[in-house]
Amino acid sequence: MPGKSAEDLIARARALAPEAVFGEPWEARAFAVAVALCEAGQFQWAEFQQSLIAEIGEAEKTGRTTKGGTDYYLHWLDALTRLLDAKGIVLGPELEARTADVGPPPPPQDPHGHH
Amino acid sequence: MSDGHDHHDGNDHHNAPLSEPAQRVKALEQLLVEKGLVNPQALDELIDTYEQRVGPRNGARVVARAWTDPEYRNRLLDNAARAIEELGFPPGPQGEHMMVVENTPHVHNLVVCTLCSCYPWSVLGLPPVWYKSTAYRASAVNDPRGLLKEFDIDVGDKEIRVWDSSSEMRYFVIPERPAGTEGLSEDELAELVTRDSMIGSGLAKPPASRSS
Repeated sequence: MPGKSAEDLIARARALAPEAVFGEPWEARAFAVAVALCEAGQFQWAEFQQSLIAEIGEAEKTGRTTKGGTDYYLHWLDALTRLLDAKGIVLGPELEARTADVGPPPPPQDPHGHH
Repeated sequence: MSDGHDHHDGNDHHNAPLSEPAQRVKALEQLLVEKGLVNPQALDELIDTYEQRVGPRNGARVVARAWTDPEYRNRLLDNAARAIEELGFPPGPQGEHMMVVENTPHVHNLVVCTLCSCYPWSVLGLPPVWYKSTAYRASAVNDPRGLLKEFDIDVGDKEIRVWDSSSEMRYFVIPERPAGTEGLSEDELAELVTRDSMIGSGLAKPPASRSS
């Protein structure tokens, strides 16, 4: 497109939608993992959607409303792990054990390199 | 939790350890990479695409084309996904079944997903936070007129049609073309098409008054 660099388009898109799409980096990873697995044929998008509807529905039934930010991606993550467990792709206990292994990393004190 | 490196008493917000969901996502990604099911670089690219390259500018181009090319508009109304792909925007995982709904002098359309947050990603990017909130999802159905007031738009006594997206069907709105835009190019028209106007929670912007 003549005269319209990708940067132009991005800048204008940002001006129009200043809200950050993802509040925290893990939200973006959780989002991308779901999309990548769907694109790889591990599940149908509708299956994931049903899992997400179930997560949000259960929460709202008990009065826990969703603001639509990080709380929404928590539902997203729960929906994804629930689906992967049901499909035997990543079992719950397997994920639990690995989550414990990952543990909290050292705090990011100096983003420009550490010693 | 305590790691013996407490530098402060009490207030230790920065330097917080990785949150529980962040740990869980990291563990999940590791396991999937080991199983050969995802590739970390592909994840980076996906995030980059949705954060930076797919966004409401795509939809604005579609609307501007529909405003200026009646045949394109017909194709869009007839088969939205195909007409959108014509402009070089492939359907994402959510974009396959898409329907456009057109605002008229008598009808205002509003899009919501009452159950989760289905949204036409390929034309609008990812949904804004408020779109996913319980409050928006509930009031779009219960009190759409009141909701539109909260968004500061007045549709008078137009009929309001609320479209509930689902995993089967995504909707997006062609807003009314603002008055006084007869001489504008397609690029200039696209500038007037806001994200909210394609959700129905807003209107297209009036043309900037310009000193020629």
